[in-house]
Amino acid sequence: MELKKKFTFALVGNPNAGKSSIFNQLTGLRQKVGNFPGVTVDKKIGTVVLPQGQSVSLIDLPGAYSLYPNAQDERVVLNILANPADAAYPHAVVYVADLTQLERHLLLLTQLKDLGFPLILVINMLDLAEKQHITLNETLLSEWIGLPIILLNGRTGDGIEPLKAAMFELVEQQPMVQIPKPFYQPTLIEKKIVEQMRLILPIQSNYRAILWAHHFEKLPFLSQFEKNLIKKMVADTGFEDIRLQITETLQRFQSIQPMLQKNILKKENPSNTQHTFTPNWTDKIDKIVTHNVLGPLIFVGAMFFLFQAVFSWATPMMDLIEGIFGQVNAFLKQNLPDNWLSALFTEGIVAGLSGVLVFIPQIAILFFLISILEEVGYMARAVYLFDRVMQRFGLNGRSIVALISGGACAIPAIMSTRTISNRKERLITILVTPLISCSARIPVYALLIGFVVPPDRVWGLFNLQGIVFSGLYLLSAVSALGSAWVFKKIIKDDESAFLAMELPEYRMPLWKNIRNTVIHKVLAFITEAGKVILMVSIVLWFLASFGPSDSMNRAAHIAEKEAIEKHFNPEQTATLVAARKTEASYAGHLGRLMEPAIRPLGFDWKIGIALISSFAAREVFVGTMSTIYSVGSSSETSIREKMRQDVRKDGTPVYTLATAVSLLIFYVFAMQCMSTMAVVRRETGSWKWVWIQFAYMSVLAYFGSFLAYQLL
Amino acid sequence: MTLIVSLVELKDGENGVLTEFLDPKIACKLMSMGILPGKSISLIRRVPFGGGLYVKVVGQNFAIRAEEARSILIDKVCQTFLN
Repeated sequence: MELKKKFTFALVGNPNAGKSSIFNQLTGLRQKVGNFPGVTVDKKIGTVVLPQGQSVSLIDLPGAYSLYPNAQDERVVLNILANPADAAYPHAVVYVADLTQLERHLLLLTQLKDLGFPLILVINMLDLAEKQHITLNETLLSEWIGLPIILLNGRTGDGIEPLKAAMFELVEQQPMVQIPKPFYQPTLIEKKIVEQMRLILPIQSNYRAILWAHHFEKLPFLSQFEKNLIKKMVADTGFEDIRLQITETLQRFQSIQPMLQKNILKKENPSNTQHTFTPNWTDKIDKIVTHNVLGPLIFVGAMFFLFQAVFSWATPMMDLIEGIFGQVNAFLKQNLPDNWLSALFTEGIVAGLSGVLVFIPQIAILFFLISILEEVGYMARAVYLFDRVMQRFGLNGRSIVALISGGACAIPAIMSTRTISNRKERLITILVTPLISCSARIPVYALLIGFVVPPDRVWGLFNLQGIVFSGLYLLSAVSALGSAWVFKKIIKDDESAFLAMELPEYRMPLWKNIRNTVIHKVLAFITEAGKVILMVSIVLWFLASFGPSDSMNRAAHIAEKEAIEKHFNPEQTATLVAARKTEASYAGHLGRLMEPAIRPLGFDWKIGIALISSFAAREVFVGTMSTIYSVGSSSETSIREKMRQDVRKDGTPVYTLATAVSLLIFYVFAMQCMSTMAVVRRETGSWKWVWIQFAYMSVLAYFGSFLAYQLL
Repeated sequence: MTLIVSLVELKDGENGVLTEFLDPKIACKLMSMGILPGKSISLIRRVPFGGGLYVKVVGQNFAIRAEEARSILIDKVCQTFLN
C-alpha cells in the first residue's frame, strides 16, 4: 500500500461516447485489468503521464446513462461515485460526451457536478459532428456549465495533449472544495429527507444523500443499520422513488435543452433535423443488415465464417505450440536426472502448461473477430434482430452475444451477461451458456471423432468428420435453447424486462482497441483458467504416479513375470507394466470405485479418471488420457494409438462406436469446468444456482450418454 | 387535431411526437437515454411477429421491445399537418 494515494481520475461517460478509445489514447499499454470487488465487471486502471512527468491513475468506469442504474455494469458506476470510502473513489472525473448527442450525454454530467466532483468535460466525435453540420460554441458552454472543456478526436488522438494539460492543471490547483450551484433543485420531500439524513449519517453532499435515499437497498457499502435508518426516513417523508427520479430527470433536461438549442449548438441545416429524413451510411447499411429476411441470413453467414476462421486459422498455430512443447519435454526427459522431481516437472507441469497455452490461438482469434463485430457496431443489430426469438426461450436479445462468445469460453460469455438488466433473463442466460460447446471441448471432440468417424467425404463434398463436428455444435445449441425454455417455465419473476438500447453509427474498427481487448482476454484466460488446469495436471500426475504402500511395485513385478511367460518383446513389456502400474495407482483405485456407476454408459475406469479430472476443466481429458497412458512408458506411439489398442478384460476394444458416441454426448452436456462454476457463483451471488446448473447438466449428460450407449 | 396512438401502432416509416409514457419504470429508463416527451420519433422498421422496433430519435437510432413501445404514446398530429 502506498502511504499517500496517487491522484486518481475516473473516466465516465454514456455508452458509445468513445470512452475506451480515449482511455487507450491516454494510457497506451500502461493498463491493468482487474475486477470490481464482488462483481465481474472489468475494472481497467491505467497510468497517465502528465506534461511535467508526474503520473496519475485513470480508472475506466463502465458506460452509464445516469446514476439510476438499470444493469449491473451501470450499478458499479453508482457504487463507486456515491461512496467516498470506496478504494476506487476518484479525486476528479474526466467526462466524455459525444458532440452529436450532446443533449442526452449532459444528463449524467450534471449529476456528477451535483455530487461535487472536480470535472473536465471532453467533447468527442468532432468528425462525426462536422459531417452532420453541427457546430459548438465552446466558450458559452464552458461558461454556462462552469467547467473546462477539451475538444477531442478519440480516434486520431487530436486533443489528447490539451486534455493532459487540463488534467495537469486540475491536479496542480488541488481541487478546492467546490460548492457549485447545484443543477438540480430538490423538491420539498427530498429536502426534508436530506435534513434528516444529515443528522445521523456522514453526508457532505445533498445530492449524494438523495441518491442514497433512492438506492439504499442495493448499495453494498451501507450497513444494515444504516439501511434500516434510511428505510424509515423514506417511509416517514413519503419519498417516492420512481416519481422523484422522473421529476429530477425532467428538471435536468429542462435546463439543458433550451441552453443548448438557443446558444450553444448550431445545426447549419435546420430543415434536415425534424421531419425530413436524409439517410446516412448507417441507415443505408441497416436497410440490408437489419432487413427481416437478409438480416438473419447475414448473421448466420457471419457466424459460420467466424467459427470456420477460428478452427482453420488456429490449427497450424496449435500444432506449432504442441510440437514445441513435445520437443521441449523430450529434451528435458533425456537430460534431467531420472527421479520423481523431474517426472513431476515433465509429466505434470510442462504437460499441464502445454494444455493451457494450446488454447491461446483459438481464444485470441475468437475475441479478435467478436471485438471487431462489437467495435463496428454490428452486435447491437444482432441483438435487435434476435430479441424476440430469444424472448420466447426466456432470454434477452443481448443473450446472443453471450451464446456466441460461449463458443470460445463460457467464462467471458457469462461475464458479458451483466448488460442484461432483467434478473430472470440474465440468470437463464448464465444457466444455459455453458451448454454451448466451448473451445475446450474441441480437443476432446477431435480425439473421439477421429476414432469412430472415417475421414470420408459425403457426395464428394463434405467431410464426414466435419459434419459430425457440426452436429455436436447443433446439439449443444438446441439443448441450450431447450433448457432455457424449461427454465423460463420454472423460474418466477415479474421484474420488468428492458431491451431499449442504442444502435450506434457504424464505424471503422480501431485496431488499438481491438488489440487491447484481445490481450486482456488472453491474459485473463491464462491466469484464471490456467491456474486451475496446471494444478489439476499436477494433482493428476501425483495420483497416477503413486499408489497405496507398494502396490504399484507389486503390480509391476507381476506384469513383468506375465510378460516373460508370454514372451513379450521389450516394448510390449513396457506397455503392460505401465498399464498395470496405473491400475494400481491412486487414480486407478479412484477409477475402479466409480466404474459401476459409469459402466451403463460404456465407460471403463480409465475414462472414469479422465471424467473426474475433467470436472476441473474439460480440456484436461486429453491431457489425462496422455498422462494415464504415458506415465512410466517410454514408447513413441501416440495416445490415439494406445487408446485404440486398449482392450477390456474379455478382449473387446474399449473404444467402440457406442463408447465414443456416448462419451461425446457426455462432453456436450456435462458441466466440467470449475472456473465457470466459480464465475457463476460470483455473477449470481449464491451457490444455489451453481448447484442447480451442475445438477441439471449432469442429469442431461448421464441420461444422454446412457441412451446413446444402450441404443447403439 | 391530435391523434394519440402508442408507438407500436405506428406503421413503418411513420413518425410523431412523443407525448407521454404509461409505465413509469420504462419512462425512467428511456428518459435517461434521452428519449423524452416532446421529441420527434420515427419508426424505421420492425422485426415481424411482435419483435423489436428500430426507431430514430433526434438522429440517434434505438432498438426497443414491442412491450416497451406499447407504453410510449405518440402524437401523430405533426405528421398529419405536414402531409
